[in-house]
Amino acid sequence: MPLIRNPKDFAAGLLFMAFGLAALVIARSYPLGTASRMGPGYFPRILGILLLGLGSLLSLSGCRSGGEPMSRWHWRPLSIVLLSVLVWGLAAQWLGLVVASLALVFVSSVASDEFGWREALLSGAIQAASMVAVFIYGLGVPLPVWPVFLGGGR
Amino acid sequence: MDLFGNLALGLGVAVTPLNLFYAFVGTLLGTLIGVLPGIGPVPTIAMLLPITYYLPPVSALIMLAGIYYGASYGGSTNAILVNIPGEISSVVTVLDGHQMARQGRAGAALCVSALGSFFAGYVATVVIAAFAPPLVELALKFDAAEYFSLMVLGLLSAVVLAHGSVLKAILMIILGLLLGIVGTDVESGMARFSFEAPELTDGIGFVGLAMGLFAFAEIAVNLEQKSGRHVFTENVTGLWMTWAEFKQVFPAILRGTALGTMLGILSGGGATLSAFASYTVEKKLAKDPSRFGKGAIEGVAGPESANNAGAQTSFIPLLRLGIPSNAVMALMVGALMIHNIQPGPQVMNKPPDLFWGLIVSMWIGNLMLVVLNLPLIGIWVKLLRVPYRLLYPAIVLICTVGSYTANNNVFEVWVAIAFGILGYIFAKLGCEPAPLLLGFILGPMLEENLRRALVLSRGDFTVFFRRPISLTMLLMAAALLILIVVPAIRKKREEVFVEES
Amino acid sequence: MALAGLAQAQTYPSKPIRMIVPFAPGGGVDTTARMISQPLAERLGQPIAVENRAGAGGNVGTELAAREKPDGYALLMGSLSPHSVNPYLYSRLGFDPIKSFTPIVLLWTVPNILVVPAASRFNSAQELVAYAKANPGKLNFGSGGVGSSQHLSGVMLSTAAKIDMVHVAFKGAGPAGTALVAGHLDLMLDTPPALVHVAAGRLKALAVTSKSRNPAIPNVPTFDELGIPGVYMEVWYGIVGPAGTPREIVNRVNKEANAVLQTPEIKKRILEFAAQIRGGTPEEFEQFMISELKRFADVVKTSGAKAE
Repeated sequence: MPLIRNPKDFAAGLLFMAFGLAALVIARSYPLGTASRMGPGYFPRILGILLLGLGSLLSLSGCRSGGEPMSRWHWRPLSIVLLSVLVWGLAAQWLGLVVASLALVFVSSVASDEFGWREALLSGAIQAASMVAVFIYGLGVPLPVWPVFLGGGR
Repeated sequence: MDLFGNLALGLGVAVTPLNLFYAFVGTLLGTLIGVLPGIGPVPTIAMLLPITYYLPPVSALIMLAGIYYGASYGGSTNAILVNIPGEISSVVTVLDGHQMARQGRAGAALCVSALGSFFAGYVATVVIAAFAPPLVELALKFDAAEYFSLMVLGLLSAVVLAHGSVLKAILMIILGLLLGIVGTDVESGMARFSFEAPELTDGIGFVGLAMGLFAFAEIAVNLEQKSGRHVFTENVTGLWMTWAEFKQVFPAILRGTALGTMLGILSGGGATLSAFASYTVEKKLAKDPSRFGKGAIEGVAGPESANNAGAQTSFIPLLRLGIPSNAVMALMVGALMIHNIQPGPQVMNKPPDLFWGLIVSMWIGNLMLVVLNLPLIGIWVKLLRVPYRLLYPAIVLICTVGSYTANNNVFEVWVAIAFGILGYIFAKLGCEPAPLLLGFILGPMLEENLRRALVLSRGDFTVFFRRPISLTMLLMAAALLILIVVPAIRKKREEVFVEES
Repeated sequence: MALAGLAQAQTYPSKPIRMIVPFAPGGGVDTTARMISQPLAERLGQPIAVENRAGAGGNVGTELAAREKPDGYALLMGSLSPHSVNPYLYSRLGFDPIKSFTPIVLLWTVPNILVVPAASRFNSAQELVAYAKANPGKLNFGSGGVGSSQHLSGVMLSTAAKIDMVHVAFKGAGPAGTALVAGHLDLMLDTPPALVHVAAGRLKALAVTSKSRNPAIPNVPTFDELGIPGVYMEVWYGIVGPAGTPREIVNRVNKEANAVLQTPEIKKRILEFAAQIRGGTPEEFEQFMISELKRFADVVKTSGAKAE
């Protein structure tokens, strides 16, 4: 019989323990106060201890009772989608909403196994235009429409 | 009290072609804004404030109120369709609403959401008209100790949100509490867990957190399956509820309305809490609680009704005391002041046409909401027929721009990315994000009220038990704890038993 | 370069102007910006778009404004917190409260008012002070947060009257006001929106933190009159530009803003807010900003507030 019988619970327990430990380490410089006049460090420490304690309980139970195996991790779609968001965040204030939105749609479309670049560009263009219509003209969101070095168009 | 005479007066004010027009415009704008995550009703109302200067005060208020509840309904639409809780109150709607959409029942989910909101809005408005003064007195009885006990009760009910392991749900709540207290400590002014980032001194933004945990993580999970192409089932069943479904949801709508009406008058998250509370109640009352989280229609009906009833009764503190219970209300005060009307008790008495016109316009606004949205359901459902390879980049784009607009700051986009990664890990480890979100929302309030109660009582812990309202809520929390823990232990024993046999 | 600047100033404004508000919609700074931007835009002949850039107690938006091009097309709605208080609260600030900006015009100031619940035993500020002296640490005063005007003026009152009160911080003035109305707090030095409750008979106004009486509440005495000198708290609102904004542009905006302040419409609304119209030259505004910054050094230190 394997040691870890419920890998999901076991790993989740470790994750919570890591959060708890990080909280305790960061919060060690926060004044603790007293139970009747709690300082800013009191509550975080309680939470950190709870995460550590209950997290280890969860990991332990992952060793004792069985559960379904962990499904495979697919980092590719996630990375591509989040990369497209990152690109938007880096580009928006400098290259403008149109370029950033087009780039986001194009890059994120790559994550699908049915990717077609013509379709992605076309749908990106339509969506970029509607973003400008809604957010810039409709809601007055402070973002340049076009690249700043071309005048920004706002 | 001449309730009917006043209502007739209000009817005369609100049902002019012009005011009907403004109610329609406000509701329409609100619905459209609500569908976009992040932006919310606050900036919209702020932008429209100068325009309201040229309108008669009643029309201005009618339009702004329309935006407010339109936005709250619009938020449910994208919660159901694309798993984005654009605002706090639609976190609960996501749980079963989106599951229904995946099973081809988006029409029924949207329909029950609209009708539930409509019914709740009507009832809550009557409550405002008839019982505002005593309800305000009740709300004023809530001191820090009462709020703390209410938060404890709310957190325990969050455990019920998850349909998996109780221990995991509890851990997610605690992690949510921890994430919630990031930022400036209210009592000492000290910045905690902010890592020298000025944006984090205001705390982690709800929008970035929700976009990451729900929308981004969900898209990543969908894409890794070849069947990701068919996230939504092909056979869409009816746009409307069936009669059987209607009979099933009506009690849920009634209970949700009652909860929302009561909790809405409390400042700070009362309406939100009511949606969570309603979900808990429905799940606990259901004959087969295991349906929840897998597309139970009561899980949409109850919280949606509670949410809208709460949105409505949160007008009470504003109208009776002039105290805005949230940012939208603060802007309403601004709108009133533009017209030389000091909000407060005078609003109810001095120009009665204004108060009663607003009350009646709430009815009209809710009616508009249904009239506007029932036909839209067909369009929304068609939207889900768009191939997923085209739909998901659009969702990513809207969520990203929405995160930016929350504070007009790219930082929120980075937050969304970080929580996208974390959300994917949670999904793989079988940790459900809804309890975390409730912990996140209630965390700061829980700590703040606990510490404030102790400051005010000069360190006397018995304050939570000496005050009757606080004690009642703590007893309810204890009862709920037993309800949660006992079946969990029994289940665990059964599991062990099954394995050993 | 100088010539180009002059040419630019003569045609100013030739495109829409942005007014950065470093706070979320709905608060005092936002309301002020929206109130002034419309009539000011009419006089300047170009629209003014209010842009909310909230974060870190106003620091995020203020820093952003400091980094804008000083061409008069990006203005900042300056106010007490970011320019006079935050420099002492935050150890690292991305801007200099004075040097990063060109003062343009001081619009108006708003006092705080000492209010107690209607059922309170105190009917005057002196009664309150006498009780606090006899019972140190017994009274609770509320505020909208550490470093807020309610907190700092409470500290001023404690220092001036040599009394010891317990500070109870809330997340925003709204919830604090509710707690006061409900009688969970003993007192608060609140901003004028609290006057709504005074009019409704739920609160009593005992004193005002300005140097002279406020025309909106003529029968409420100042602290000076009551023999408790040194309690001056006036939240100020003024328009500033990034450092290096051309003189001509500053003068133009200053002139038009002063004209707006004299219109009966604004005067009437200012009275409703219990604010006091200031106006004046850019130089006077600069002196005011410097002296306010200096004045709050001690107050913040006494309050013990520190954000980072």
